[in-house]
Amino acid sequence: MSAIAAIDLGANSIRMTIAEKKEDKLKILDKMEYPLRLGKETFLKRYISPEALKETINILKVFRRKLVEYAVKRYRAVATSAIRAIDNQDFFLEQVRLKTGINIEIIEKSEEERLVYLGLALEIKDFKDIVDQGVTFAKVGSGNVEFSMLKTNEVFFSRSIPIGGLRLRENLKKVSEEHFKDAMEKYVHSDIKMLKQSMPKIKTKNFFASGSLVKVLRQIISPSGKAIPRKKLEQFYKELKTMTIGQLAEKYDLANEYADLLLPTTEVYINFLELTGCDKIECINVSFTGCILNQMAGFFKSGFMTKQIWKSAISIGDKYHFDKPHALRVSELSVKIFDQLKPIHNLSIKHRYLLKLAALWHDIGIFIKNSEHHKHSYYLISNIEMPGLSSQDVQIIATVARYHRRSMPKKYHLEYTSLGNKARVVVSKLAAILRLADALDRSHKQLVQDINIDIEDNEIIINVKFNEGGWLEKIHFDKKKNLFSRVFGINIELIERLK
Amino acid sequence: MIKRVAVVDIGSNSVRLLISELIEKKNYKILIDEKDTIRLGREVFEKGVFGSSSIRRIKRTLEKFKKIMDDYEVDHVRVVATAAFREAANAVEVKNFISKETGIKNIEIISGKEEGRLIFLGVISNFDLKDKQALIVDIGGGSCELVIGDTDKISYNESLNLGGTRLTKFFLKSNPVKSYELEMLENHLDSVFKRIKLAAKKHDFDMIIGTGGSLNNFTKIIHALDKSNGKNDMFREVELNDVEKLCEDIASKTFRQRLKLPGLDKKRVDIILAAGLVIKKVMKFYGKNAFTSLSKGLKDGLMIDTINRLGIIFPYQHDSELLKEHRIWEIGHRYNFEEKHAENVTELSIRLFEQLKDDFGFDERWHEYLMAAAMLHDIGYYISHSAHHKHSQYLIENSDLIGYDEREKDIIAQIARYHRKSLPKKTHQGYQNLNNGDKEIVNKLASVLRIADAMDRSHLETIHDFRVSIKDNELIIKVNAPESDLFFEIEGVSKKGDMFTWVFDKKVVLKGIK
Repeated sequence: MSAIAAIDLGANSIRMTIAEKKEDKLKILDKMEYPLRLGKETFLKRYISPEALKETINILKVFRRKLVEYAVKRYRAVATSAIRAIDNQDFFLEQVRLKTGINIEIIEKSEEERLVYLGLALEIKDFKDIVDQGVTFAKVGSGNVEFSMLKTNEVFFSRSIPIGGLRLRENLKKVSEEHFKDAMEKYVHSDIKMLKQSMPKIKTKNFFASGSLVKVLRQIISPSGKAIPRKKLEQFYKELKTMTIGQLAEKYDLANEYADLLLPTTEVYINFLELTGCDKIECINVSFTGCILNQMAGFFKSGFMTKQIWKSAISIGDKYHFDKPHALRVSELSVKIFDQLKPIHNLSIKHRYLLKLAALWHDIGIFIKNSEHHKHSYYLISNIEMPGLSSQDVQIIATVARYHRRSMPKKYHLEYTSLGNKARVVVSKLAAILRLADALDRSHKQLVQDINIDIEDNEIIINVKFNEGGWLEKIHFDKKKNLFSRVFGINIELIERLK
Repeated sequence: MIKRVAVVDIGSNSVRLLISELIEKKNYKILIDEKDTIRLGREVFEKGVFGSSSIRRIKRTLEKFKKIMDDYEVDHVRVVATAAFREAANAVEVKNFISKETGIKNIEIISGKEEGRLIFLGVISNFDLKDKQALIVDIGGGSCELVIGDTDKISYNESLNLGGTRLTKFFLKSNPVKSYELEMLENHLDSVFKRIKLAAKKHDFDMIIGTGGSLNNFTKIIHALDKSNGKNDMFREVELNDVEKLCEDIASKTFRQRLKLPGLDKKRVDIILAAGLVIKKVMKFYGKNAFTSLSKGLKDGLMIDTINRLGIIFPYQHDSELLKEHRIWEIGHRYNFEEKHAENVTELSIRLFEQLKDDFGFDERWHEYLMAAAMLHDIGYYISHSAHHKHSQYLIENSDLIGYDEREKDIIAQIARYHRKSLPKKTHQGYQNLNNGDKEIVNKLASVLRIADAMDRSHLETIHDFRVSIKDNELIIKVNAPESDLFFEIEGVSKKGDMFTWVFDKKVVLKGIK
């Protein structure tokens, strides 16, 4: 088995891990880390300066030699938040590729989250129990705080809140140091108040934090233990408030950079502990390169937090007051039709999942207004952020929902044309199926007991068994089936099965 | 207890079903709005009776509606029929037959005046007249109702046989219409209006509101031709010369050509012209240059009237100011806004506005825009934190604010949109769609809102008492509190004063005095 490698352009450093697959484990061969604060550049300027680019290239050239040395055939180089939001992303990636030959992939936030969770599940022994009790993850970065909550059968909630340490410093830089504390507390407090309104009302037993600053905090507060008790953190905060940055740096032997961020970061963590009802912070060390390697080695189990994600999908529907029985039924029927039409549509399991969600959310736009509600559904869905869904996925789901009624996809619909060729066909196919499923619960009374599809040479027959009634469904089925025959080039008929 | 109410309106062009659910006697929400275009008038206006095919069509539609009502477990039903039933010689027989066949009892055949009253009720419950007198023109399939009044009372109420289906059937038979047909119709309109002149001109009014499906569609086409955005709005303002232009254009086209008009409802391809000609006549008759089209009318008034008859009067029916505010609160609550912060920012905005209006040329009417925008500036947060100002804009644009027309709603949406982040740019389409005067309103009011929002950035209502003074290049806000309590706000205002500086070329400084 030859060696594999993962490179990660993180916010504070560039890392590489080289490993080798040994049975069902990875054996680490080499690990490298060079400090480079790309995240700070990104946050302050929204672009990576030529100097930082040059430094990145130099580091990657070193990595490149290591790859050759270990005869690595397969590697992935990834970048996350530090590169995700910069304005000169395309040029940055191109320069790196030209000068080092390394192709860097940008990992979306939802995918990053997914990989980290899978990595933790693999590394932490009793991860399942921890999730059962509920767990909060927090990472205070330069600009944002990444915050997520996970609990079995409850939720999977995640948000990015703009109260990172550096941002607080930047936004309040005109406030004198003397008053900074007060202003900063208010600032954090008001954002937490806003977050409180939109987050699930649950408590979690565990609180995990990662990132370089929390490491510093742990070393200062409880050098022997793994966790930082809330009480000690609060005491430390009180002490911090009485010290200047210079004193702080000297006392704890910190770089000024860190000392500067310690106060806001501590305050933010205290707020989150209070918010989630936890009494200590467990410091975890998530190696993102490790996650990538595990994925490359095929160690991650498929199916990611399925239960929790479906739960959160439903809670999004609840937030927009959807007709839940209708939504669930249309979702279920869509999937049934999808499965039985497999020979016709030629779509993947991933598309099945997107359809399931589009069907669940197709009517949420009614919350805004009944007329043109398919367009409002589109708007609301395209703004959904959910772990495990990439922005491309979200766009497809939103567009499928947009076409659940009224106009068929048209050349001049921007949301449709901007999707790209392949996705357009997927959207049309899924929307055609969704329309049928929606028609089958037109009365919103869940009258369909079962369906069974026969695919014939020049016609598809959908045999439907109703519990009772079903006249409204039948009328609407005929009205809503034209997209289907247009997309699949074959007519579909509903036949009521009486027995 | 009554929870769900259904009303059915059997018109000469279409039959509509509306089912609503009462919300704690304060309001109602529509669960279902169904329409079948079955053109009952066509036969009645020609032959004077319902023939067998018309009867079959009514029966089929009402059977369907009955089933929907049963499905929705409606507690109370009211069915009314208008012009076609008023006129058909066999109306009573048909009514009884339909009742027996479908189980729908008590079909009321209402008079033209009652129809006018209900339309009026529908309009004033969805449009803030603000002490103005309005002429409501409702163009249906068989009749056209003219009602003049204000929120308190109706002073004139006339029903004319000038519905779209009827006029088309009588006069505009050819495809495309022939010029003598147009002439005959215009002659007919002249003579009808001559007949009512004395009574109709006795009452003054400030504005014309046009309702009815054909007229709404007519307006939609004008707007679609004008701007290419196909927003489906509740009100639109339309000018006489646009009405004349579109009438001419439609008159010169065959049905097939008309179908290419943007926004045209193909079910109205024939009758749309008649509706246009009637509103044109009304505007000319009264010498008015514009009318406002409103997509509320008979069915909405019928719903409210029906609920009122059950002994439930909604709070906003007593007071139109209340109606407007009530709706803003309702929208705010729907999106879970932070009430205190919204109220506080509104108060601060309005007080800034009052102190600045003379020096900076704020119009008194803007007060209302600022108030609504300040109340609703954060509602987009319900969708997500990031870009929530844009979500606020979207939600306001698609809300049913009362008391503001479409243009004003757009202004309010834009003010809310600029309460944070980027200043207006070339690439911001919503903003660029405004005319220059409206852009200026947005610029000025959004810069005030930004300052007010910064003054309550902590959401803790720290600032109550303040006075504004203007120096050469500075706007100074003096707050009656020690400076040491205000660092957060001082910092906030110095940042969010950016738009004010951009608009008025003055720095904004917050100071504590105590």
